[in-house]
Amino acid sequence: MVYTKRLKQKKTYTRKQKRLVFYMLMFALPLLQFLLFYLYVNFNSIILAFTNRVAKVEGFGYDVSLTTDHFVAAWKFFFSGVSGRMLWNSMKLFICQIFIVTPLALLFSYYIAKERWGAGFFRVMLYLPQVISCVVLGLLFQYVANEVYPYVAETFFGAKNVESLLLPSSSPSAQFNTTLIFTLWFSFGANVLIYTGAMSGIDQSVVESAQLDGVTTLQEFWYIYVPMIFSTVTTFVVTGLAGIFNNQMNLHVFFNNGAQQEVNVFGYYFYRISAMHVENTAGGNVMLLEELAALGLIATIVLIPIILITRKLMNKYGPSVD
Amino acid sequence: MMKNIETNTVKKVKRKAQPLDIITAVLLSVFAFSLILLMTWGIFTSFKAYADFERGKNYLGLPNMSALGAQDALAFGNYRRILFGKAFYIKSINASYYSALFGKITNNPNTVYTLVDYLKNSFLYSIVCSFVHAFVAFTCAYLCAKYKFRFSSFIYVLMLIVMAIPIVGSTPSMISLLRDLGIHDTIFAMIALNFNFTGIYFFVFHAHIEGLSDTYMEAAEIDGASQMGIFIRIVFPLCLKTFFTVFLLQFIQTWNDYQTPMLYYPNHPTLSYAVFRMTRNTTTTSIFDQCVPVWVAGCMVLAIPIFIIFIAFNKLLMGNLTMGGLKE
Repeated sequence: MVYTKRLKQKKTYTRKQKRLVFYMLMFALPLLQFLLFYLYVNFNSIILAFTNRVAKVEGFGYDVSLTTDHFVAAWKFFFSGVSGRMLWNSMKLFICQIFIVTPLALLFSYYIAKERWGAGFFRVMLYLPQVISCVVLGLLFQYVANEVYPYVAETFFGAKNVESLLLPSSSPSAQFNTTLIFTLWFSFGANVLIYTGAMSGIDQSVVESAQLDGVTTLQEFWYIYVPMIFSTVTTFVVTGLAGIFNNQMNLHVFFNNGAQQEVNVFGYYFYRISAMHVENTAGGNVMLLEELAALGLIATIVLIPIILITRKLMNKYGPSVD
Repeated sequence: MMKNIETNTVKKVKRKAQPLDIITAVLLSVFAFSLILLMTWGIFTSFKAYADFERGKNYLGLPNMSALGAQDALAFGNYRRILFGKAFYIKSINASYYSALFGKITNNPNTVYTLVDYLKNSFLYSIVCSFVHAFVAFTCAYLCAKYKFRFSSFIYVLMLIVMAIPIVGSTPSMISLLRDLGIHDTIFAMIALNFNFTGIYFFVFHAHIEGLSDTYMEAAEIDGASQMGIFIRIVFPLCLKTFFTVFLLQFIQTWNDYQTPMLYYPNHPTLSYAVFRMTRNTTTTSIFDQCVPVWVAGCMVLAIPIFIIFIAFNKLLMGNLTMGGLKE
């Protein structure tokens, strides 16, 4: 009896040990990757922002010194007119996403979840732009905006001197508005897919009892479906806000590194400057990578409290299921 | 009672289309029409000859067979230029420069890439990186879901925090690290970047695996299976469908992605990257190679593989891949 108990204890211990060894071995590499490519990279961003590295004149390596110059330059830039315009453009995109795309995505999802006429077909069509490369859709759209649109406006509507919308020489307002419309128009896929999934999980007895009470489609949508999936909507809004400084608004697809200053958004600016340094096309007046790292740091610090407050407000004042 | 239910069912079936439904249907139709129109325009344009589109300004009509070069259009001329001609050649990025931040990088700026290079790089990048990312996310999710150590809970919370906190502008630091490690512009850099378990798929796998009964694993363990054996032979086959879906979604994303290769794999252009650069950085000076119909044909070449995958697996791809796994 005692022998069996000891054997069992030994067996359990061995099993635990085996599990622990397997656990540690399997986690080792992914964890190392996380430490190196997430923690170190972000820590290194801070280091880059506060150090000055100059290649040694003789021999290899760098002379490294601490400096606040990059941070000061980035700080000044963040509160400059150029940055203000980029921030405003990013805000315009975010506002349009919240007040145009989100309500429409909810409406489309409701239509699909209720399996109305052509729901399956529309679901495929809404998801298709997520599958096709933004390069393909972007370039096709660009050629239509540059070649077909002026031709149609002049030939069929008698307009004169119609400008192409997405040429480098087009007016900034035409460039920005066209890019904004393209970005919003083809951004329903992921939202609709998730919202439809959430809506299909709603208890149908609630919906049926409301229908017996004579609720209209609009009431059903507004008072039952929207409140019951509002936590999903909150997640999307918060994710959209978190991506406000990373969203490029497809500007790179249309203009490569040459978009006019008036149409810049933060996400595009960050990518463009990095790409210009990689391609060695950054001139003397282009922001240094160290300054860009400092700018990213400032943007992150500014964004975190805004996200937390937004999430709290939406949870507090959003529509209640009750 | 029965009568009541019948009446309700009839009511439900006979419910008239209401204004909200009509408005939504109209909006959805406009959306679908615009997408179909854009794609159809692309397909027709890719068959037009240079003389037809650029000189004849045939922007909207069907390919004009009487125009100069009509035979060329009929014989898939633009596609032949893309697949076998010089229309798709791009030059190497001139990365020969000294940088205080990155050190000396030298490449031959005269290297010219062709379709074979793009396809090779695209498939290598997409297949390897998608598999690596799906497998790492799956492995870590399994460890966190089925090995109830404190560290597992810590990792789960950490992943939530990582997803919630946006990091802006870490690209310079990433490039710097990859160059310090000596793997920038190699496939190892792309694998290293994708060897992570941060992101939504970790939670998808976690929810799915957590829902699996422990009895499968316990029974295998009693039969003498090793931990690795349980993982490979029991858990992996049970999650194969979710794994394949995540792999496909990741494949589509990496196939279409031109920006990541542009920064971290610049001298190994993928097809997506090549299509993007084709209109801006071509080595050929022939107007027959540098015109909208040829570029549109290039777009179609890029879209075709993904379109085939979408048609073949659309139910999987559009299934309700949620935090609760894959719903049937």
